[in-house]
Amino acid sequence: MILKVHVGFMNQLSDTSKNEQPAIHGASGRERQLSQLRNVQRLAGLIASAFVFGPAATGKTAAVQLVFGRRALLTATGPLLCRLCFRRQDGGNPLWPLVAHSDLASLAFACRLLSTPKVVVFDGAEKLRGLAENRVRLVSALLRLPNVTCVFVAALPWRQFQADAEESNQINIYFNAYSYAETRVILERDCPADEDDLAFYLRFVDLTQSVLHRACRDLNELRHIVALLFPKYKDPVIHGKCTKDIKDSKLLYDAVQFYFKEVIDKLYIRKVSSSEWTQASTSGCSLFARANEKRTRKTGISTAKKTSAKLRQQLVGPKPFPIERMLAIFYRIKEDTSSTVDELESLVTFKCK
Amino acid sequence: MTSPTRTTTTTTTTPIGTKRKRSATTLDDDVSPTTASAAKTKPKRASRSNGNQSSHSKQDPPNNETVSAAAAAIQRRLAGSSLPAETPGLDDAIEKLKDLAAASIVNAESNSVLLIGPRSSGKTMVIRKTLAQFPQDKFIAVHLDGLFHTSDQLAVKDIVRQLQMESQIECARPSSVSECLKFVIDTLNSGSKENIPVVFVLEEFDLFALHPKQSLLYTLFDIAQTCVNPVFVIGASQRQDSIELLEKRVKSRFSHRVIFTYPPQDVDDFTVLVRNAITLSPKEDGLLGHEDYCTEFNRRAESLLASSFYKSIAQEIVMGTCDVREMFGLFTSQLLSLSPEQPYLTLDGFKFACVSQLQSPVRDMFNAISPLEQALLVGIKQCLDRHIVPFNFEIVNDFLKDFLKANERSMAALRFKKDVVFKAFESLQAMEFITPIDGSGNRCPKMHKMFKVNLSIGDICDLVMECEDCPEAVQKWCQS
Repeated sequence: MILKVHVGFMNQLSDTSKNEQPAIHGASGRERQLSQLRNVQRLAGLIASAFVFGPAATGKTAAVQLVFGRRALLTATGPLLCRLCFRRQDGGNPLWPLVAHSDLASLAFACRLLSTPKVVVFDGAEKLRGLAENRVRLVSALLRLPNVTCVFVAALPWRQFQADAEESNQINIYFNAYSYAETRVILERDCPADEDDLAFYLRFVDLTQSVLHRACRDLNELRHIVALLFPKYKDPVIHGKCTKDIKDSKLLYDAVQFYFKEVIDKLYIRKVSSSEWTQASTSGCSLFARANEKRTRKTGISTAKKTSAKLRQQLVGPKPFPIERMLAIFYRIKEDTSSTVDELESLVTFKCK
Repeated sequence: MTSPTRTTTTTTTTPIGTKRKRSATTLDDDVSPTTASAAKTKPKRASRSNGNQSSHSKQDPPNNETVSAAAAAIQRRLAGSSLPAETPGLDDAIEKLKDLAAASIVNAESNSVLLIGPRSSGKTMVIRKTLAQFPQDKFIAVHLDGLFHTSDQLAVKDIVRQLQMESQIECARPSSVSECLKFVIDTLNSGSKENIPVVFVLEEFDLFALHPKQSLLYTLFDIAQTCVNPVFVIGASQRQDSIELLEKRVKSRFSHRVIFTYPPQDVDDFTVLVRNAITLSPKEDGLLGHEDYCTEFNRRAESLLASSFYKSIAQEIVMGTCDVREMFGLFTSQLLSLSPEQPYLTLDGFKFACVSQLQSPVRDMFNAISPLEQALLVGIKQCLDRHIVPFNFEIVNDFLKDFLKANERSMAALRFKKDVVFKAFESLQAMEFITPIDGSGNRCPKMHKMFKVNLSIGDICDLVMECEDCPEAVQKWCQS
């Protein structure tokens, strides 16, 4: 039996990717880690904690789910208070009363009375850092819970947790990044069901990897791209322009090359809200205000080695300046930008208060 | 007679599974002193009688259950959930505490004492071993831990809970911490002729001293001084200045008895602790019928302990933190790799455990990031070279752009849109290679937000030069 707790506000929406079918079936270069985790399961309660870490998309969550089951998993999201960690109601689990305690002392007492030791997995453990109650850090207290083995899953090394639990040694279980070959094996499993020619699909996987390996190491993103672009790759075949034969791969590559370029940029695009746009224009002016005030107009673009003294003002970004100054510049540039000017004037008066 | 605490402790015969001895607050009350002393000699005998075991008939190779049982037995000792038979260096402390405890438990005198020593020097072990020497029905033990009881109210609530007196408290409705505690102690002894001593064990004593007004400590020490009911307060702390943390009124009520515990002084003492933990004895560890396996296991463990590699690691720990748990952590990690195919603790396994536990993972993390992110880090290094600290994305991107312009041919693969580069910058932030500095303000546009780097110039150089995937031009740029 395994303890089920939800740390904080588990955001179902943002975690859909994590709730998918585990990516690990059988061999995928994770045998050692899996056997270590199974041993943690066997020694539950005797080991205070294990620390599972590694870069993003290396199968950490999938592995702990496989070994400890979904029910053991807690996802730490968002900033939260210590006491909120143990408060989240989750129906249908008879073990819930155990963690319904609002304080650590009750939790520790309840854990002491457990008949069988439990494993609790904290996914996204980075978020637990800095949580404290009365100057006692949550992480160091969790490490002491009797009869409970805490498994922390994080993308950062334990060093970054040191401030929270400086006196503890962790059992590290490292998930190294997938190698080129391992990535290929995993991508191979994603082959669409309606695709009968595996060799054809694999050629596309090779192509994707060779194009994107430089820019993108994240397995999740690679899988997404492969799923997204494979139909485009297949298009010429469907239309009868080429065949699936290896001879035509050059043609197919030419056809799909444009999409690759598109997708790299699209993958990274961050939607910017309109409020950020106004912020951007204001920051432009504020930059100007600052530069203008300090009379550092001579921003000659020199190709010589830059020193800190010569660092261009645009690069450094805006610094504090009198807001009246910016207002004056606004008036100067544009005379009837009434809405912006109103806003700024109200800001000035607000600040004066 | 049966006291409420006794029932509490007996229900938790499964000892506490934390790695720390200090936090293990229940007592193995089914282990009588005689069996404990019998256990003392067992592991040694098993390791010495290697030669005699050859007369045994050939046994089956260890299967999964056997290996798991062996691992669990060893881990139980490493985690400190079973009391060790030998406690080198702690016998003095145990003797002292035993005298004090005897005065309290046998002669019904009140007392207070503080155990001070560096972490994992055996403070909790001293308390547990001492209390285990007295009959469990002659006193009531209440265990508190500063890490869990973050306020006096919580602590009192837990005391009531551990004494199973919730119902009596409901009727009395005490208004303050001290009132409640006094009520508890009085009620506890109201029914019986003789007074039952109550032993309060306060782990992380210094954290209790940080509670506002120190009312819990004040009341406990006050009861110990004035009450007729015997109360024995044992505090355990790593802070040498724990007493100085106490308020004047609390300090004056404390007995000022302090027992110091010391970590093992040299590698030999250190190794005794390790050897006791990692050698198997068929009888004690429930491995009867697998004597051959135990013998072979102990033989390999001995040769591991005799190796120069182990000795150098042990020497390092003794010279450094002198924390025996650091070594225990290495063995725990090695236990996780035990399997029927690899059922012994071997030198190779130990070396592997050292690599995975002690080595900094920064290099692995660096090798796993994309070339663009690596190039950005070199750009950050250029900032550091020119004493531009802190830096922001725009500055780093500017350096990167110059670099790409200069190496247009070879570095075409790294030319991306600004958004893409910014994403790489953000992923560096997510991996905490760089952290934003406070004070630049949240309203600052994110491209101008100031950052500091968590690596030194030399670190970045080493990482880049030793990374095989890193393009040559980037390496050259790093050296310029």
